[in-house]
Amino acid sequence: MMKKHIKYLIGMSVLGVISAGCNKDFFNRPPEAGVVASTYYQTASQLNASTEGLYGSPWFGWNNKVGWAITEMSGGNGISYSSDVSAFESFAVPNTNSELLAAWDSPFTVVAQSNALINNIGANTPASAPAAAKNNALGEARLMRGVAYFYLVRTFGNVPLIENPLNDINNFQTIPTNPVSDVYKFIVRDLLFAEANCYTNNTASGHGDSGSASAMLAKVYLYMQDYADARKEAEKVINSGEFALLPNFEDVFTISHNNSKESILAMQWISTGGYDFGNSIQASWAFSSQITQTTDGYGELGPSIDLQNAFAAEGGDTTRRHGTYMIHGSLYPELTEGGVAPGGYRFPSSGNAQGTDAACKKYVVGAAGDPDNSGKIAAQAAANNTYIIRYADVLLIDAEAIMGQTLGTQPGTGIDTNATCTDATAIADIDQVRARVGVPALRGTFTYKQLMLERRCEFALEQDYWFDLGRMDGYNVTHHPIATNIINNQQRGTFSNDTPPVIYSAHYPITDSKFVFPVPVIESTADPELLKAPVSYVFK
Amino acid sequence: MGKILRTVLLFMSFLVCARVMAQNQGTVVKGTVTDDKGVTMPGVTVTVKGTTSKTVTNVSGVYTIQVPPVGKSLVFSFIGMEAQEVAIGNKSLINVAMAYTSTTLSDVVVIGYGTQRRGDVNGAIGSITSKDIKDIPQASVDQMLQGKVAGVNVTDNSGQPGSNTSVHIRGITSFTASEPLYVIDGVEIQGNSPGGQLNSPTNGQQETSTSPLAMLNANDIASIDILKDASATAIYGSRGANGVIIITTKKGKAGKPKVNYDGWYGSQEQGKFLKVDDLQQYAVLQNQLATVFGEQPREEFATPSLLGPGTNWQEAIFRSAPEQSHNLSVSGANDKSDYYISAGYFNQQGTILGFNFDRYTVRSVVNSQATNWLKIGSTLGVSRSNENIGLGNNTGIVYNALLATPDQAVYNADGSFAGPEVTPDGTREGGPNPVQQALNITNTFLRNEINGNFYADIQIFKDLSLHSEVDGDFNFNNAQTFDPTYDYSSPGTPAIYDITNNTATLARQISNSTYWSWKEYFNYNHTWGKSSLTALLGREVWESNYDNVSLSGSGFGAGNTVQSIALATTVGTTIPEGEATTTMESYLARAIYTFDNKYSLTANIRSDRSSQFADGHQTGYFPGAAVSWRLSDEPFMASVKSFADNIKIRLSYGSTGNSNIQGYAYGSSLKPTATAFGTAYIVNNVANPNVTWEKALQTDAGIDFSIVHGRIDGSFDYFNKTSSNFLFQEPLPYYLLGGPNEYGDNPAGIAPPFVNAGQINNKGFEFSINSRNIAGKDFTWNSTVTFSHYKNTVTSLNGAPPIIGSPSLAYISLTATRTIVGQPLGEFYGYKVQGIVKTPAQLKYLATHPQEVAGFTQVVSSDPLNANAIWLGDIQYEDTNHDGKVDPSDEVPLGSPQPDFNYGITNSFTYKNFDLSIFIYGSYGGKILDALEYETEGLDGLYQNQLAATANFWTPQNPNSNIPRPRGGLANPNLVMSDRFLESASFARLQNVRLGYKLPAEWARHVAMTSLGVYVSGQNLFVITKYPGLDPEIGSFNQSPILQNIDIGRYPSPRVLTVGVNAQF
Repeated sequence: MMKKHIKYLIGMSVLGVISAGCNKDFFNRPPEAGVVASTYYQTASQLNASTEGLYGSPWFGWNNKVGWAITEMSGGNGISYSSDVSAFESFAVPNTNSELLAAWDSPFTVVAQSNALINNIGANTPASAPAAAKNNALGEARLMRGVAYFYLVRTFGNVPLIENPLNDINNFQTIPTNPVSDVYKFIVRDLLFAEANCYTNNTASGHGDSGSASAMLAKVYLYMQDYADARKEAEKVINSGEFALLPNFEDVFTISHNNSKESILAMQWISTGGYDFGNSIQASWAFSSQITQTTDGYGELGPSIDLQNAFAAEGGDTTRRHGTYMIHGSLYPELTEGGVAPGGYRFPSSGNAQGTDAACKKYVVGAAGDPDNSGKIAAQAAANNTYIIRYADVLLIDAEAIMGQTLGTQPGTGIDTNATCTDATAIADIDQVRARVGVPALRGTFTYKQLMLERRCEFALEQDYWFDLGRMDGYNVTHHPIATNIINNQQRGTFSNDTPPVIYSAHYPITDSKFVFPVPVIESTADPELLKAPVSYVFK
Repeated sequence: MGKILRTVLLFMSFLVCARVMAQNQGTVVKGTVTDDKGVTMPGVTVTVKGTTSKTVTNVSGVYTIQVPPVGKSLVFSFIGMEAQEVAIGNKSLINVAMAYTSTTLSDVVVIGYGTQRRGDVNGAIGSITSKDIKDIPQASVDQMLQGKVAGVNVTDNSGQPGSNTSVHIRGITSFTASEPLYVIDGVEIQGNSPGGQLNSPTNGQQETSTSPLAMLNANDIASIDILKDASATAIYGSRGANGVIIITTKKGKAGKPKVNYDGWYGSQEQGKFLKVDDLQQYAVLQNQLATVFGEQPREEFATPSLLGPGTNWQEAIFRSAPEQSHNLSVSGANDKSDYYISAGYFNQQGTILGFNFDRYTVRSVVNSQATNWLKIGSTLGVSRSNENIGLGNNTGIVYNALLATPDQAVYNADGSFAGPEVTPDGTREGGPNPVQQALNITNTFLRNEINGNFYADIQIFKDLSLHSEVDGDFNFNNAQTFDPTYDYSSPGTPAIYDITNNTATLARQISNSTYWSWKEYFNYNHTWGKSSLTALLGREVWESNYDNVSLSGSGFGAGNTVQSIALATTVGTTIPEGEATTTMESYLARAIYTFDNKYSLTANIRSDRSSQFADGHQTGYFPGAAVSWRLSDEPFMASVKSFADNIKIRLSYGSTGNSNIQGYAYGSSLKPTATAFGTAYIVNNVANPNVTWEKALQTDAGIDFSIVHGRIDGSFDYFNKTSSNFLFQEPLPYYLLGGPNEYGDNPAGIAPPFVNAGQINNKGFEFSINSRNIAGKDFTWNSTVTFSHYKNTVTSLNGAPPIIGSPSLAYISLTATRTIVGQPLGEFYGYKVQGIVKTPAQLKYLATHPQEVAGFTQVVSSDPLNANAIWLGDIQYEDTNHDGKVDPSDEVPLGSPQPDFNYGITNSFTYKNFDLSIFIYGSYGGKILDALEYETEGLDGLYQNQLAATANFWTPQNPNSNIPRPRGGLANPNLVMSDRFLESASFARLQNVRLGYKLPAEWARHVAMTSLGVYVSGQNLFVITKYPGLDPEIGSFNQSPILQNIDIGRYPSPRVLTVGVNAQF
């Protein structure tokens, strides 16, 4: 009987199964290789770790090439034939340039991740979470957001201020840019929050802290020509004792001195994450793959004749020059070609990056097998930090703030390049920086021109000089006579192969509008308002 | 839905019980069934009409059946044969000769969860059989569909072995991949296999998606049915929005066991090469460019006429390459069971160095009528393929070879690879050696797939059966790239200028996926009077999971030979794993009612509940309906019946859906990222809790006809398909959520939300006609024409901005396509070239009517170092809105990549034992962006080769040229997105010619064969096109509908000559 009717029984049981259906959990499939946002940001350790993603890969686009293409090539410190960046040297960057897009996207990615962190902590962190950890995470996020906007405003001028993108997702075609003055106000607000809420004495970990925020505030106030506040913040940093100059200038740029006493805020890179996660500067700059022992080492940037002249003007072959660029016969004991050349790397007498008879050294850290690198070098990815600000900058900011303050310079007007300053504190600040690199002390006075030369030599190839040129004519100006004069006289040519070499001279005249870069075409296509006049930001 | 279902099922189960009771006694009839040639046929079903009494013939074709008193006639049926009905009368011996079905009307069509006779189908379904795709030298079945079925557009995205193909059924309905659902013997194959190929080291832009069908051996296929209209696809509900392609594999056939061998060997070669500068031409051009760019001309180029021809890099990378396929199968059937077992091997070497593909397949299909009420069966396919793409296509090998300089040798005299020439001051006058890259860099993708099912059919009572099936598809893949150490240079170059890699790198991605599904459905068939009803009711559940594990390492002290992470000096810390699971539960119901074989109605509905959406948004309902009317059988048509033996009109309407988005898009997740602090979490995406089903509505009106006594038959369909609320990731500006860096990588940007927004409409028509032109005893001539046309329009984006398709091409960020409302998907968009600035009058005009196409105003200046200048020889763009200046508001749609129509024409002839078929495939209309020319005609820098035609650039002495003057810097205003490099995409290709000869049976018998055929065939013999690039069939980049027909160095399809054998033992 059972056997005979088994087919009906099967049919009936299938009916039962069919009509029962799956339960609700069958359709609940949260990520299996990720975390649901609402369940994170709960404990102190989660909150402390929540900011770790803000120091590396979001900055990659900026750091990879365009950061130095803008600051060093447009600034006149470096030259390159390479077609991806050469337009930055000749002030001919079209809005279709893909490097330009990276200059925009990368800081905005920092802004986006910072915003997401701020908003997620606001929405998901329970009241019971430790307040210090929560405040520090919010502080670090606002520190990095402020810093990212500082890069953006100096590169593009008016940019849109975004705090909660979720509000703008459905109306972004009408989002305007906000004026430079509002962007600075926004940055100051973020940095003040960070200064008040971040941990103190935490930079050795690689995180930014309250002192980092003070230092950035000093720099931002200096750009705003608020000399009093710039000086106040700079001296807060100086007096805190958290930071100091390293005794040896060249150590500052080695992997083993990442997050040293001199480091105030830096992009943090790794060598084991591949492209997008490591510092790729040496890949572009190292003169040869002998130095890096990987495929890279393209010698893509050469120190311009103008930069070489600047070093000559400050006294010739100093420690600082040696640490900044290689000239014929320079010996670098730490670059051992991965142990192949234990005596070190000597820049050959025929060596020549981009027709400059020299090659970049700063940020070139060598091969995995070199001492001090702990193997942290891979193709396109070295683990050396990129400085956002270091202690020497704070000293020179202090000196400049004192100078501006004593001269009574008003925002919107540049300090006369021939103006002098005799303030002892300012001179001591500058002399600290000079003493380390073996440049003779000042003789009781300095001119603004000397100070700017000091900055240029100290921070050459560190993504700063173009921004110094941009602010020399004063805060938020559209007319740049002083900087234009400097740039138009910069020697951006190359050396010939003759002995002695002859200079193929090149000068690229700049116009006022070129002190900011155009909005990338893909962005202005999505939001045409970006090309129109800026609109005041409504601060909440 | 569940409640209604339960009621219906309960009702049906009463029926089951009620009908069990009736049984009776009667007479016995015997007989033998043969085919039309007198061969006995096992497995023929014999039924006493109007009763449950039924049997099948045994291995000798003999049957014995109990005929109840009510039995009046016997019905003999066998798939592929005409059913026969014989009156019993008082006969006790009835022998029958069955005839093979001859007309397409009685072919069986697979309609999803069942089959139907072709003549009864109400929806729009295209079918092809094994003979249509027989002996075609292609790796993948989807490529073989090209031109064979109206309404199906098939484009090879690359000519590389094992590459993927874009298949679009009736247009493109989505911004993401619009590929159809593939169902192989009931097992639904996910559109994309997990993982996929890795990018080649040193190259970031290439096809990495792979064809899911590359794993299937075409020799195993019996038929392919393509469900086109929504009434047909609605039974697949959520997954049918892009159409469904159902592949049925071969089964054993009645008769004595058959052993088949099919094999062919082919030789492939590249049919076309581009004319680039030889060394003399190159030297002349380099000298001219150096002058323009204000640099020292090269000494060695001082007298170009003394130079030789230099290296031809195209000849260096292309090669003549073999291709072969072998397939052995054994099949057979008796009255109870059938089996088919096959093994295949396919190997294709690429026509470009460094590419190859091989595949092993095994397949078994077994079915058995275990008891009179239980039929069970199983299919199992196991395959393994290995693909090496070396240096990939698309800004990969072809691109590098075209730009490689002719002054660089391939090899040095000592056999080592040659590097570029280097100046005394260290400038490399060229790039890496493409041949070295192709041969040394490996990029392999190894795939293993097990795909199969098990089913049971339970005949509960005469009209009602239950089908239970469990399907599985399991993939185990391993993608690996290895960039070895190397060191090479041209002779005499100081070692510091060698092209070197001192640290080898290895990347691996191990991925596996499991897909299982469970189906239960009841089939009900009932015929009464002139009516017949077929109903289906069932449930299906599936779960799909993938898991990718990535590893990388560098520094292999032991050398380049053993490529294992275990030997790496440094192991990478990229985030090592990605995993996701998707589930779905569906209920489906279908009823087909036919009256008098003239009027027929199909109605179906499916509900799908998907884990892709948040609770409350998970379920979608997808109904469809179709009616047909066989006009020719109406009395008033009797007068034309002798001419038009069949005319059927069809109308259908239905809805399908799509849920194919990233998992957990409805919520916000954090993703792990590698940092200096260790693994940290950053925000992955913006949530949209309301995201739900995309729906597509489609209307179809069609006519099937057969005229002149079946000599000509065909069908014509009009369709109108609208996808609404379609799913896409909102293309937000990057300032909101972050964006990619210069090469398109986006390691830390936040993914925009998926939204249901906008509408795309596709309307068009298609037809196919078969004509038996000559049907003589010795000579036949058949022609088949397929034709497909559709027009694609984006009707709404719901406020979203234009969607920009931006292929990454070296250092240009080319905003090539823009999808805007009122225009087709992925349309080219940019400036129109008015002409070259040739006269002072034009300069005068430009001084007051500024041109700003690259973000800055071009000033009228002859200064060669002023990159912002416009001067004689530059491009003047059109002021399309006549506002006196040229700026972004003058950008306009420049043409669609989508063709106006596609067609396929097949002519086949037989003469005695010879057969000849000629297949032409063509595409008309549409544009190609030859983006490669931005580099190969750019005239923007030294040390890379150019197309020979660029030598004719404009100078005052060469005033008729339309090629602008050389200008330094890739992204100069002469190289913005414009119609300058837009080309016609029309082509007609002689796709296949095959000449076969079948040996007379008696000859075959001498070598112990049942039959033996030999053939020669040519594939892709020539192409008629105006396209100046290597191959006009570009396809879409990684199947992206917004990056179609953009040539950035596509691997051209080879020309193939094959010889082959079909033998049966």
